[in-house]
Amino acid sequence: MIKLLRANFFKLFCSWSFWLTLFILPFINIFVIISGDRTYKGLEPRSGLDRWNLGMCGETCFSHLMFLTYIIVLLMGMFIGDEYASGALRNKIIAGYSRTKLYFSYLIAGVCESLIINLFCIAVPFIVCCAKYGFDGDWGTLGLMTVSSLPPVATLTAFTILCIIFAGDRTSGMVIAFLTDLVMYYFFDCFFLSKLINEPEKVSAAQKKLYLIIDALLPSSFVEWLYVFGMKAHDLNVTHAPKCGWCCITLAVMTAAGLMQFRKNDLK
Amino acid sequence: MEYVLKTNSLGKKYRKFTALDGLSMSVPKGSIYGFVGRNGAGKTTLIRLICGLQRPTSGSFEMFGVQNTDKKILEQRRRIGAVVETPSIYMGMTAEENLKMQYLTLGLPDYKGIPELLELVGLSNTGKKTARNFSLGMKQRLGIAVALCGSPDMLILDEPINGLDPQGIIEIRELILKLNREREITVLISSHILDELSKLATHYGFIDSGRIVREMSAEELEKASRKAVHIEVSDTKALSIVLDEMGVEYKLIDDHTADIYAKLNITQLTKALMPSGCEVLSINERDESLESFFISLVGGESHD
Repeated sequence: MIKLLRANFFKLFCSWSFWLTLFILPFINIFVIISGDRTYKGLEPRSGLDRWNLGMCGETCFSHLMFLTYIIVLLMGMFIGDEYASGALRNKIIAGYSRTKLYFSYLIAGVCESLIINLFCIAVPFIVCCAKYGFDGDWGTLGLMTVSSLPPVATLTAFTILCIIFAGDRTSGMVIAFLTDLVMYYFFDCFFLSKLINEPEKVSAAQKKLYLIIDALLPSSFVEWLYVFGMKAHDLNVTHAPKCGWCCITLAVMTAAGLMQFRKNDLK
Repeated sequence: MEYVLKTNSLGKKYRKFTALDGLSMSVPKGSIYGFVGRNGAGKTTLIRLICGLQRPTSGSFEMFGVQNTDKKILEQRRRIGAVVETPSIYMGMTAEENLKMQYLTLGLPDYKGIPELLELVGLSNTGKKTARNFSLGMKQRLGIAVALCGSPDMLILDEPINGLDPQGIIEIRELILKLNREREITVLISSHILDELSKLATHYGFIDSGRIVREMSAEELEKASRKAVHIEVSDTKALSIVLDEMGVEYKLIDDHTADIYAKLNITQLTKALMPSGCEVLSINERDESLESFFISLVGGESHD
């Protein structure tokens, strides 16, 4: 397993797509900071919320999450999908590794890649913000938001890997992952979220709980949720923790499904 | 005789399609085993089963004396190197990086063997050029170099000369012969370019419709192949009368040429043809090719 992980990380660090994403993606957040600062520049600061602070934290350090769903699909296509496309997966099977070991080595390396990029995208703009505008927000909430972003990112990665394994081909796998992410998110948005927002009186307490659970099970909608509602810092302690737990259940299901499919599949 | 690979009634079905139908074959140690068959005969399927990419639906195989159902088969698989269909290489990496990847995968302690491997396959001066920019022959050779990492005892090559130019074919052929002679690597090579295979193989396995039709050594094949005298005359009608009188087997190709499957006394034949005014224009002896032998085994109709 260690040998496989070493090989996978060697490949990861040789990959231009990883380094390019790592250095380009934080600029999304940095640009949001600069434009946010311009918006607030003329205002008389009456509280910390009138300058760059925790109130803007969701818009700055987590802005990349909006696109991360699709970026993960691309990255996994370039990393795990490439193993199928290049036939390099064959070399690893011929080298005598069990499929379980192979699967977990890919999953671990893939999840690490996504998490490194996610954390880098949070850390770099945060440092820039602190240096340029200062920070007078709540460290605990920022930390909680950062930790909360990890399970959905890991789940999206596991889901994309599952799609590639299921398709047995890079391009088809990426298309399946991309479309399923979109359809799942908009299905929830159309049938559940819009009802919850527009007709809350028609939604019972039990239904509301059910919607929240379904929402939390869908990693792409969770990522969106984290970004859109990031500003509601006070709610985070209440709502984030259970949502993270639900997302971990999805992660476990995706991992198990991926493993079963990988062990069963005939490879070319 | 010691065998590195033995299959026993190996079967593989893809839904209703039977790719392998009770295939049994044995690859002797140190041989170059030519695996001959048409497209879709089951060559690649067999190689995929041996390499562990797919699981057989029936039967079994033994690799270096270990059954495929035994967990130790994973260790034995480390003793083989394979190029299945296309070379398994990372296109975005250089030749050296590709070999480093394979060294890491195999858990080899250092990269000392890489320059020697690159030298062996003639890729030592590719520098920072990525595999994406390699010619087809270079990619094929890099694929073989990757398969050779960890000094395998057996090399499995699936259609290694497909799409190569004549120079590339010669290079791959010489490399395979070198590996077999100098490193004593057993080679299982599948191909449908039979003329090329006949220049390499020491043993043959003829496969058709997922079954081994015949297995034989190169010596046995040579004995089984009929010698033919290709003769060009002014009139094949007169020739056929004479050959019938002589009681030899022959085949008329057109009005002027024929193949005769017997050892002939040329002087006697020329004298016999003289009264009818038939002239002998040219004569040459040739072996029946591997191709003809294969066709005689499996029939001429196409399965494609």
